Amino acid sequence: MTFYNSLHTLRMDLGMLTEFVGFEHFREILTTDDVFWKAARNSLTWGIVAPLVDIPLALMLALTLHARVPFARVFRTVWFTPVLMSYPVVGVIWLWVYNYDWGMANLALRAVGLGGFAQAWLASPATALPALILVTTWMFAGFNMVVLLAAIHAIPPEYLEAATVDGAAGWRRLLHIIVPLLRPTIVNLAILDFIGKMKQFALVWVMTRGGPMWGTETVATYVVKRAFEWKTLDLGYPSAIAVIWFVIIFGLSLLLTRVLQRREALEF
Amino acid sequence: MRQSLRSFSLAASLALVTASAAHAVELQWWSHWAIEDSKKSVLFEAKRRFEQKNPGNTVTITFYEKKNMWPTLRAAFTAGSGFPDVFYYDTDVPEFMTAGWLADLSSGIRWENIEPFGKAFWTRPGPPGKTGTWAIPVETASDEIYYNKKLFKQLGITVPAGFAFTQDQFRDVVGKCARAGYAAFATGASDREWAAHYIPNALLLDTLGADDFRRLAQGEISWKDPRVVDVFRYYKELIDLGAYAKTLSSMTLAEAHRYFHTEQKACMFPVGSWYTGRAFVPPDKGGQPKDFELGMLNNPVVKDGKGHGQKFLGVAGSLGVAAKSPNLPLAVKVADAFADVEIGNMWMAKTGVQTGIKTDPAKIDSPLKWYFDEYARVNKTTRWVDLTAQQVRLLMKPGLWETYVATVNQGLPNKLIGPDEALAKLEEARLKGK
Repeated sequence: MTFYNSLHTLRMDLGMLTEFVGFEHFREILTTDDVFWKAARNSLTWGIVAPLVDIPLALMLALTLHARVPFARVFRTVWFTPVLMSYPVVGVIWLWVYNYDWGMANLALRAVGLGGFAQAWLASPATALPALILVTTWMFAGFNMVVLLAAIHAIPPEYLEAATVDGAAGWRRLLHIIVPLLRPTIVNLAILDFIGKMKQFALVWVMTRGGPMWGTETVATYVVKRAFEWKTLDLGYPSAIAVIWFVIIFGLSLLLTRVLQRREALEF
Repeated sequence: MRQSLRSFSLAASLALVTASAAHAVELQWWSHWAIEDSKKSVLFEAKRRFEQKNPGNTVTITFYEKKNMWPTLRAAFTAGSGFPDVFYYDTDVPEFMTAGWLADLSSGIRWENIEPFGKAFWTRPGPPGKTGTWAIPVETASDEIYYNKKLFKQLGITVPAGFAFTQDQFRDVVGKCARAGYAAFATGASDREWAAHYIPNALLLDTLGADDFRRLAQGEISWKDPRVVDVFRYYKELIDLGAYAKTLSSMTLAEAHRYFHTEQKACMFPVGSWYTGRAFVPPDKGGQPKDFELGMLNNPVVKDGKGHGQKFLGVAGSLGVAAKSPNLPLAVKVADAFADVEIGNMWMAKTGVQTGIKTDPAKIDSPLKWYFDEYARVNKTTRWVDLTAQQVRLLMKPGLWETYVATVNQGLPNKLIGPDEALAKLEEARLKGK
């Protein structure tokens, strides 16, 4: 249906007037629509950077809990809680955190004598997108942590004991024993994280609406703006963007799966 | 026989109760102005009057912040269900008219009680081939520049007799405020696309005059026109002097009000004259402190400008009816409750905001009389231009409006781009014609 719409102009404001335009929308999006390319670049950046940050952080948290640190149960609950919150709630909380005058981010910087680094985090494209990426990391690290913790618990203890007997401890045990055994879980989490970030909408909508200067515009927010905020209310053009983005996400997900899962999963 | 009569009367009573219950309708009304008690009191009065005239039918008002209301309304109208019978409406979403989501109110409303300019404003093309009158103009407002009299005195700033600074004087005012640690303008652009448009719009109006301003917005004049370039370069000077707070992009409109009158961190507040709806409520409800000294300015006078003495004024918050409301005739009656001179008087007296409803000034008894007098004094010679910062989007094509928001509401005031880059982007958008 979306593909059919993408080949037409479909004007809600003109009583759903439909006109066949072939691949004209696709041509316009790919050749002259600068905002689409900015949105695509932001979404891709988010999709690539987030798993690279989220998963090592989640692994670190999972290992911390696995090491049975004091108050592990409390930490597990605290770290997992953000994922239970909805995007609008999280968005409002982080809007406060990033407030220039009284936000926690700048208050903390000023408190440790780094007031010179205090800034309006959501006011510049240079900091706004990283600031949003940090929010999703905060939100999802706990979820990834729980999945990884379950996978770590599933590693037969004799593997780790044998490694210790063979003299592999600390980083060597982590890099050469634990991480390879967690590989299938990590790959699945990375792909899920990538797909989730490529269609990021709600958080951006609440916190920046794609601004400033399209600095946090994602493809999803751009689709909604073109569909419902442009007074033309043409559903054809945003449908074409959605089709293009679906193809890109599908293709990249396939590619990632192939590349990351090329080795056989280890059996134990 | 007695038994039969008793059964019959019981059945008849039950039928009557059921019938009256079946006719009782609960109408849904969604409104903006969630935190504006003075406006809410007028809305509740209109609701009360409707319910009194239409016994058995009730109205439930749900208050939203309009930023959240528009997407909910859009989704409901698109889905064809879940929308209210009556709702707050304004020019932020002009596409609702052409999408056919608004009922034509040409009939069923006592238009004789509405100012002709208000009716004319909402009489526009709707869905293909149909022109209608799509809303009741409850609120009208002018684009104003309010100032903090106490701060001005403290900084040694004297307002000229005509309440308008020259370009050079205005630059000095902005500089004095910034050097003293105040923002010149209390603007919060995080939840309004047009919050930072007031000053550039005022400068453009004074430079170009109303006709050329409209032509610029409609894409008929280049953004590289030397007059426009001069305005943007001058405006950039103000920004570089420290016109806006660093909180600009994270501050909401509601916070900007507090920033101006309660925290008193800014000298001026360029905003619609609906300022009073939020400010003239008790301080514990977000209103301005009792001892706050509010002043008003006219637009800065640009050298060789063609629009001296002009100011924007237009219809703002209004009331629409859902075209597909299952209770359309009753919903129109709810809207009609506003077409009443008494309601107009009450609106003026309680909110201090102008209205498109006819009023009888002799009968307006308001504690805000001092404000009406001040407004009249400042605007004694003003030539009104039928447009507001919010309505500029009606003139612009969507792509140009999006670029105007990105550059003038975000890029320029946050010092992310310079005037030449902003103008290049606007010109590019104009030439695209989308």
